[in-house]
Amino acid sequence: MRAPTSYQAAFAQFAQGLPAAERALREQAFASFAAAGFPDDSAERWHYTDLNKLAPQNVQLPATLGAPALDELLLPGCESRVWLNGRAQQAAAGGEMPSGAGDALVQLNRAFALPGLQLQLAAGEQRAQPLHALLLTQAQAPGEMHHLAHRIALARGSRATVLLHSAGLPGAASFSSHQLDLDLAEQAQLTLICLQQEGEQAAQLLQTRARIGRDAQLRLINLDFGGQLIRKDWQLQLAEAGAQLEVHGLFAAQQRVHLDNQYEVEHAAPHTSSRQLLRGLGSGRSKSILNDRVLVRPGAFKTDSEQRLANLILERGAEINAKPELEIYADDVKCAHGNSCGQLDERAVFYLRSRGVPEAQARALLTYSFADAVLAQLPIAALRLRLAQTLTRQLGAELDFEDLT
Amino acid sequence: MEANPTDIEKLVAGRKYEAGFITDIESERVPPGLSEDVVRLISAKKNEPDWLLDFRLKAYRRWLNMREPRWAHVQYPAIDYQALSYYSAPKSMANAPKTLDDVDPKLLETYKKLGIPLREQEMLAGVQQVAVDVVFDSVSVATTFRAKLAEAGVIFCSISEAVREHPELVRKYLGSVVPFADNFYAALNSAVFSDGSFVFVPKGVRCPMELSTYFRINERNTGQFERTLIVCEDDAHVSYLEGCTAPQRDENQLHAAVVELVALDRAEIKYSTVQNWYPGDENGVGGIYNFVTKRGDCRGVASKISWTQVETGSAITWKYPSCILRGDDSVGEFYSVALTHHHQQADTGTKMIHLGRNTRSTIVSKGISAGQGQQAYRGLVRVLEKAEGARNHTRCDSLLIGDKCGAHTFPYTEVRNPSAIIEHEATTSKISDDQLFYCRSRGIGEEDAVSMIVNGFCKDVFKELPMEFAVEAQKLLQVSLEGAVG
Repeated sequence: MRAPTSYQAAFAQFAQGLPAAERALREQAFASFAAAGFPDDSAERWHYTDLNKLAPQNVQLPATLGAPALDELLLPGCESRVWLNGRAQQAAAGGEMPSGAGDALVQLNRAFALPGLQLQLAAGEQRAQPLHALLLTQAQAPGEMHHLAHRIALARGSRATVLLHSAGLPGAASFSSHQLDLDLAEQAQLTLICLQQEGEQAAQLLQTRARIGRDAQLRLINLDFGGQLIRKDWQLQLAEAGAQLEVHGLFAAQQRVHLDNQYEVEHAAPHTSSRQLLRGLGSGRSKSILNDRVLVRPGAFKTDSEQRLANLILERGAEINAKPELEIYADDVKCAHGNSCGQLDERAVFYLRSRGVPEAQARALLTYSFADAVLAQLPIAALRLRLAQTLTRQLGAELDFEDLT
Repeated sequence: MEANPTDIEKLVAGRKYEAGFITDIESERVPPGLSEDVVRLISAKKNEPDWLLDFRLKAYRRWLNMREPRWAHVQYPAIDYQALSYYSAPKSMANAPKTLDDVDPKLLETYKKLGIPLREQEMLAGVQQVAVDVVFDSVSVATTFRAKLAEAGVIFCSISEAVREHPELVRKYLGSVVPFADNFYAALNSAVFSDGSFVFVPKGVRCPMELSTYFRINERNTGQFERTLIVCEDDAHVSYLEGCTAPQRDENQLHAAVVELVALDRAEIKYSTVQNWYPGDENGVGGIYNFVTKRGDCRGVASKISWTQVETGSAITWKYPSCILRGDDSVGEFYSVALTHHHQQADTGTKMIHLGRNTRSTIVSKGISAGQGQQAYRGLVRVLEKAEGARNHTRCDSLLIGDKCGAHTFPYTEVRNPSAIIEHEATTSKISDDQLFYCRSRGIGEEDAVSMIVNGFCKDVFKELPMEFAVEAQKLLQVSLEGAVG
């Protein structure tokens, strides 16, 4: 048994009231997790993030809470659904329990997970309003943890825009894990915004698996602004011909956050394309990891892929580890990647100052414009405005964004 | 215009290993297996001082507790380290030859086949004077131009000789760049290293000629563990060439070398390699396992270390020539052409560790995959907190020839200083049909056209090679890629 004992105690408590069939499945999952334990850095994917050292050791199930005030978090023009500490605040849409193989983290999630966002669209269905899934964390006692399993399945030709928004309210240290399954059938189109604004003492693990079908399109916008230990795994498979993927990523790592994003884009069929634009800001004593792997399977001819990674280190003490990987097993492909790391152009700062802009604002403005390459992709204007303000406040300058919308 | 893939495969399959022959010389070998006794025996056979035996034993004891690295993108059956023989010396070396005339004629014949101009008169006929310290299996056979180098104050000899003649220098620098417990293969090498070259260039001396070593692995089932140590004192300069070929074998042979370079203030070391060990046959049988640790330490201010490598041989290559940019304003360079073919696998690249202020590094890597070859570039650029103003540029291109090969890129960047500027760019492509068609429409044959395009692809690296190596490298690629069109 390699799992910390507090997980065992929490599981025993959690499993008590469950029906026998479900309990058996969950016990099986927990046993797999307990036997394997958290991954350590012997695997290359976990080189920078050793969960044996980093994952919370003392955890417990969350207490039940009354509904918090949400006004500041909700967005106009969006249909919203809210989870608080892993509990749905509206009538829960029951999903079936996933089972089968998976790594230790999948098994941990399966042992505890409650249904999160379950969205299934019928063929041709188009949702007019974006769906805002608000995943709130407010830990009363240190080590409170919750686990959610989300699933979005789009049938042929359907379209949706989803904002998966995890946010931390002031409270104690917390831990959450999320499994996200995406299935896009032929010609389906999904815009998924994954916004992470966890609290300063929050650990979050997210594992995403996407299957993109024939001529289907996934646009992913992944934004990280908070947290203490954040690890996100993205397994995005272009499974059939004509599948398209766009990834826009932005992180702003501050203080002592350990932020690890692992993208894996798999071109499994011919005539598929992927575009990735990933940007990051490192400040404080933060440690950011960005691993972006493109895998071209044998036979995936006419693959067209591009990875653009650019990072700014804003303060001494911050660390950014970026790696755009290519693994290619077919010859008639077009794959390019670029990766850079640097700081603001001092000449640009000087130019703005010579025009009377104070230095802090000049830097904030330039940093914001760097980040805006990603934020501009947001299809929800209110969200873009809010994040622009959040970001510039983080950078220590208030900018006027009245004209932005 | 589409090239017919079966023709290509036929042409690619037609490539034979030109340097494949075995010299039949009686060798003195230690029976297979590795233990403390074997380490002691190697040390005793070479009449080594106690401190060196201690170094070997410490390395061996540490090695016992180390794990074989598995992160590289290569696949091979597990190596039985107890089935290898760790020492082999041609018997005729028992009475060390005084001049070239005393050298076993069969040895000389071997080098003649490889075209190494061993005799001085042959060398004088060449464009440039080159001193060759030839390693035949484990013992250095002959060293030329000693006198001329000695005049300049340059020490160029085998490492065993250096241990006898200049123990204080060897003791000071050996293991100071690659510690004995650095990694699994370096520890193994530190325990059982047989021979290699030692170069010492004293203060202010510019080595009057390019130094060169040809390595050959000849004995069946022997691992070869060279140890090379090059030290350049303040303001010194040396260019060192290493060329490798090995005869055809069916069993896989292990090669775990360690190369250490030390550059003091304003010193410059240029280290060039053309590696053409036996890559195995068309079916992936045989070939050398090449697990090498090469590292240079820019210890002084404004020092410079430049690695250039052309890797066309070996069944498996695991090699990351690195630079530790410790001195302020020091410069590290890495230029590489790696070619994998048939079932060859290569996981190669570099590490640039920026420690000093205003340190700069350049990485240019060109990978060519043909047949079922697998090629990986794995590079690390690390900028530590105090490395103010560090600068890196990495350019990494892959060329795929055929649809069964693979090309992979793993560029690690770890930046901890806000003033660092790091850039990495990479492309992967095949030889375009347009380019090929253009050449052919001008009456250039398919093979020549491919060779020309590949040479153009590698030009950035070839221009860094010393003249005689650049010619050899181009020839090697040409032979390797005859008619291979994508």
